[in-house]
Amino acid sequence: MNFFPQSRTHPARQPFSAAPRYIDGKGPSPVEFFDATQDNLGALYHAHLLTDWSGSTEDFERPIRYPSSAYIGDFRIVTNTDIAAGPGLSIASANAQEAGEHGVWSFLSGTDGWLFDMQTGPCYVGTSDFLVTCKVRVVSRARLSPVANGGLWIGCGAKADDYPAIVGGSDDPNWYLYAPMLASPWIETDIPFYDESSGIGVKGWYVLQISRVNGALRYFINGRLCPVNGKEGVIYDTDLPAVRRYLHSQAWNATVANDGFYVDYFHRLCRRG
Amino acid sequence: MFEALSYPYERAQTYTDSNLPAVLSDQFYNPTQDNLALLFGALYGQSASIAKDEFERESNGFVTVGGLVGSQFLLQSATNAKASSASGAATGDHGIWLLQNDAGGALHDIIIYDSDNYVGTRRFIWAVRLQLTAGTKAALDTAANSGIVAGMGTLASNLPTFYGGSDQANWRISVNAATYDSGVALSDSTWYWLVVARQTNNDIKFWIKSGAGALTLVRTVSWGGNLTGCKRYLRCLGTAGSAAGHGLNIDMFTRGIER
Repeated sequence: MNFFPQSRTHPARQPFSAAPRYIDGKGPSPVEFFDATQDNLGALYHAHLLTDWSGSTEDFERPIRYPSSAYIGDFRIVTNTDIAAGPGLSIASANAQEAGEHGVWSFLSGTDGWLFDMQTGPCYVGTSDFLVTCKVRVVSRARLSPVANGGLWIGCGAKADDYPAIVGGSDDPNWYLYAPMLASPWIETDIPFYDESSGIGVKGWYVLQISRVNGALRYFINGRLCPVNGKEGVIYDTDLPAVRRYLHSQAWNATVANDGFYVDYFHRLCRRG
Repeated sequence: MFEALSYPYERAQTYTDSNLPAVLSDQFYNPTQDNLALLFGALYGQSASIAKDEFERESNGFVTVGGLVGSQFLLQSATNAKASSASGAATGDHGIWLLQNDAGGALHDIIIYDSDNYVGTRRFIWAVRLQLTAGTKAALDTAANSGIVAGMGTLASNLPTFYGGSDQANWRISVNAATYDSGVALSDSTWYWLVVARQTNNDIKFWIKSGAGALTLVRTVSWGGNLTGCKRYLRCLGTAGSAAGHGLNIDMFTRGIER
């Protein structure tokens, strides 16, 4: 019996974690290990070289915005304004300040608030599995717009397209899940949303992940599964024509200089069939 | 890495808990180690290299000659060509760019490629997913004139390529100064995966996946030639009858080469 259903898009199972652990003299379940190993390796090969999977990674290592100032790697800057209709956030490659920061870009303000969106192109995943992973931190949560307005919004699709997201804002100290398939789409997590001013941790980095496996959508924050109304995930087998890596942020009040956020990486993996 | 219908792309064996077949060293243990090592080597080491473009970067308007298509390709065309990102129309369309006739009413010559690779006599794999837009095939130039070419270089280079044109019903194959009929129809509005790879024994294998069909081996040619100037190369050449919107969609263009 296999207690660990396989998927390449569940960030807490194989191949992202080695579970279960094996001991000499007691072999693994064949389905659990031999088939899974073949399938995991196959998915990775397909994502790079063939037909059945696709994947993209962005480690934000480019030191300049290329091919134009409208881009950061494969991300297009869709919106970047301030409350006075000025130029919005200043975007630049940032110095790494602690272990684990491997190519970081800063998105920092002047003294006005901002409205910002960046995204990659759409993937028509249909009802297939996918995983989106983003590592991000903010300078000050308290100066973001409220949760419902998307103070910081990391999604597997655009906000305007009403895709699932993990969201934080000034009006609540915890992260929220946005689950558009539910009548009450906002789910408060019990995970606090610290920022670099909180003194918790070093800089307040968060890894935010949205995963779909066989029609079940799950949210993860720093590797921890975030329950949806007390359940592990939520059924969401909707046909999705525009899964993408998407980041939105808003601070629609006057703020202080060098407010904003940082991004370290933003990846996605999608099954094609 | 270089055999599209074998492990790791397909399972070598399905193991069932209740009736376990022997787990063989040449079927599971050694190939698993070798494939994992080759992938690590290609991505972060020295044994191979992989370059892929998922065409996931949005264009925000049209890219013209000299511009960047996707993330890695130069639009190097002479006539009536422009490119832009597009929405996927069906499951499996993951990041699409549309390369098309610009003005219409005159021929188009759409060419994209990336940097040179000295493959030499090593193993390699090239794969592209593309689709001609509606009405394009009839307005292509002939196959011999490079109506559509997708592969490792120009038709004149004699490098392994897939090609076709308005005068041919099927995709054709060009390699080492010889040409072959693939037997697979070239049609508008059908997504194709075109895959070519060289094996250890110098067999160069060509596979095509047409629409929802299976990836199928269509030709094997033995050639251990020293391959230079290899690119991910794509050309779509129309005739005077081509119109605005004629051209092709591209979803992915990838290659792996043993170093």
